[in-house]
Amino acid sequence: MLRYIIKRILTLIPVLFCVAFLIFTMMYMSRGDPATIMLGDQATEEQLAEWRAVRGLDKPFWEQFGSYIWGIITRGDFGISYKTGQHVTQSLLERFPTTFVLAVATCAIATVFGVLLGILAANRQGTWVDNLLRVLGMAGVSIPIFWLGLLMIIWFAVDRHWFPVSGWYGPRYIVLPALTMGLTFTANIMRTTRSSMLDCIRQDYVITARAKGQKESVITWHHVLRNALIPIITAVGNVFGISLCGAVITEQVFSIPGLGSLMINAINTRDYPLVRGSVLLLAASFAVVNLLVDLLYAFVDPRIKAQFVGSARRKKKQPPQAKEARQA
Amino acid sequence: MKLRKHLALVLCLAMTATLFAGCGSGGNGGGNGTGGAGGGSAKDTIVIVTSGDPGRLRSDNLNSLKEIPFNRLAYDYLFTRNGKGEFSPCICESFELDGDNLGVTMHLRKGVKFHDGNTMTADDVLASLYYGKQDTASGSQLDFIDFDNSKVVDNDTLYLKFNRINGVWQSSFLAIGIIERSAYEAAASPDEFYLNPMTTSAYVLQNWVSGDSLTFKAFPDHWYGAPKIENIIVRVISESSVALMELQTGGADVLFNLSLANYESACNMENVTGYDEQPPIINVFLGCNLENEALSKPDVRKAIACAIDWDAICAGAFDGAAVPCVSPLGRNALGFDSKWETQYPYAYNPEKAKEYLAAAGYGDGLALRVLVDETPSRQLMAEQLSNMFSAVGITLTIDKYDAATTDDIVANSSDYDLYIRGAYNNSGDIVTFLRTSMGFTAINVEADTEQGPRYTGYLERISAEMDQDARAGLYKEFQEDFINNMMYWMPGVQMTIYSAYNSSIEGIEWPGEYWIWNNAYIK
Repeated sequence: MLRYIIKRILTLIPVLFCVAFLIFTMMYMSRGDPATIMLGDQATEEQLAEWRAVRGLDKPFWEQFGSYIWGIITRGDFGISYKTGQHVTQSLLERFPTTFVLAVATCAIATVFGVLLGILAANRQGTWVDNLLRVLGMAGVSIPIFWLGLLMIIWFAVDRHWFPVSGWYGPRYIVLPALTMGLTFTANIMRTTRSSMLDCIRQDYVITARAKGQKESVITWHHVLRNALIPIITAVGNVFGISLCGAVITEQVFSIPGLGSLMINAINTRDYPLVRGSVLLLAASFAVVNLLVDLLYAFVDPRIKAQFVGSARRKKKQPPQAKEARQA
Repeated sequence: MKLRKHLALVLCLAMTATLFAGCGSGGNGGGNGTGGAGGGSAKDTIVIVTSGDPGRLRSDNLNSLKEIPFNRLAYDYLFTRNGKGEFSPCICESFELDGDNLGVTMHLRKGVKFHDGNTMTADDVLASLYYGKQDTASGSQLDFIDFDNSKVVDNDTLYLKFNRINGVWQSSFLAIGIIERSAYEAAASPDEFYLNPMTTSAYVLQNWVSGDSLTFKAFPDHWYGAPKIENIIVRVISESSVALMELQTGGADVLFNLSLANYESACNMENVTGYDEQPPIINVFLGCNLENEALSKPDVRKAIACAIDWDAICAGAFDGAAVPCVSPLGRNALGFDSKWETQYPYAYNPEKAKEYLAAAGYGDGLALRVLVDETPSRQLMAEQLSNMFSAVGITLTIDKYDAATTDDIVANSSDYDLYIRGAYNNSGDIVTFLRTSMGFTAINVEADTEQGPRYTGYLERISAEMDQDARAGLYKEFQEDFINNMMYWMPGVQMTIYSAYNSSIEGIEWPGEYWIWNNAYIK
């Protein structure tokens, strides 16, 4: 298992390198001169040229990219923000916890509601409950987040004063944005849970359990849900990853100082180091979430765990000749 | 099995704890400062909304439109300017110009304190100008100062030597705030200093949560008198509708630069007062690429001017929150000639536009492309222009990009015909504004066209004229020539600035473009 984790972490390196190259190239090729944006209309040509020279923007592409990658590898330096003059790492560390907490809360809401409603829909397949939940699920997938967010604010903050309108100053402030994103993703998880549960409900072992007089709740939770968990975990992992990367709109609507709003502002002002750092961080986060999801597979499904253990044992038991042959 | 359940329970609790701990602060402050930015307004605290984080508190950053309500919280300046373009003393109480107009002796306000308790001296002011020239984009306006021959006369007197005559020298100081020399030089870098600059302003920055809020505390030793409101929190809310809801629920006290619809909604709220007397300083105009063969002909530009119904654009694209311009100078600018209110030759007249087009050799029609950024009102304006132009035989293609890209295309390429752009600061003595923001393309293009030197020639003459009345006369001459012959851009619309604030706040001063909070108080 440990070997598998290390292997996966090592595969992250080329992935992140490719992401870095792509985002660097895209930003390099995009129109919009950061010097003009930062210094404004009143700056002279000399000032603009000096600004570019200080930041190395007057150098050829490969030299710029090389020094960027070299800075990351040797010093862990992602550059300095054009707008604030602050190290990108510091800016990201300030903002990432906010986005992470929002993603966790979103994921928790989406998972709890999505799984429960998915189970309910599967158990009542073909009834009005199932139909209603499917319609709601479709609506949930279709509703734009910014619209739902504004509705939430009007209903729960302006009309009823239950929650604050916007900001990020304490537990009460997390409810509306997390609900907004959570309810949208609930639909995804609900639909996955329902279809996965329906696949398992038709299996022989469920019929056997029912024939043996097992309680329906035990069948649902112990036999069906456990076997239906793999696609659900995949969906939850995706939701978490998308919440991390896709909280941009929610953060704008609710004025949350997270990574999404930082990235949007950085793109608008062509703050290249900050955009590159944000994208790399999000890519790395998504990759780590995927790794965790893979590990969770092994945790919930003994067959997958057995594969890891089995392959490790097979390698240990190899005869010396086979090892030598393989090395040769 | 039990162990796993316990483990799951512990993990759940840890996750919940992380959630509650994590949403306590958004960044570097580790808290939300005095009063809590999100906790609504305590009696000694007001919340001003801005649409974007300034990044660093550079004095010229704070001169941008969205920062105007809190500009004076962070800096004092040598002079301020009222809505009519007249200068009022601020840190510089009085001055005498040299006989040859190549130098000025400034008498500074005595006893002005920095936030650390040190007394401001002429040396600090000289350093502010010197470092301001280096560190700010507006610094290029100070290139007329000969720092080598400028000197500190005594603690309260500063002599500045000019390397050329500059009739608008006072305007050049409007964006350069006063800072403490020793604090600046002790900082590790300018960026570090501007994170919390040592200034003489009425409020001291206490806490800055990046992307979220800046908390200011009253500075009791301010020369204009101790501010009455103890704390001012500047919150970043980019969504205007959300800001409005914050005002409605008491989470915010002051909103600036509202759309007309939001302004009217705010005025209908209980306990909210509207303010629409801010001098209009934003222009949205239609610029021409003079390198385009058709647009280099004055008749084509006049045809375009006659083809546009600006009243319809004000009502449609700007929702009634703008008035048409009749001159390249705003109505609050020095030298604005009011005769153009009645004699502007390019009133909406499609037939006349067709005649101009025919005279220029484009009677069969003309195809043009207009660049527009992502601002909704400007995109609506482009749609309206397209309809208006089609009525006179001009086919208009709309190219939409983000603001950074449109500016880049206009500044660095000729890959456009027309562009819609907004510029601000169109009041007072606006020669710098005409040279930079409004001359955005005209200046770049002037070297390659016959028309350019004519435009810059006026600006040079205006800049070199020390007498204000004479300068106003030159501005009038410029308007005459611009409207009748140049028309490098269509003057467009002048936007009205709408603000709204909690009615329990009284005593705000609006001397001109800026808001002064010293005498404001909460009822």
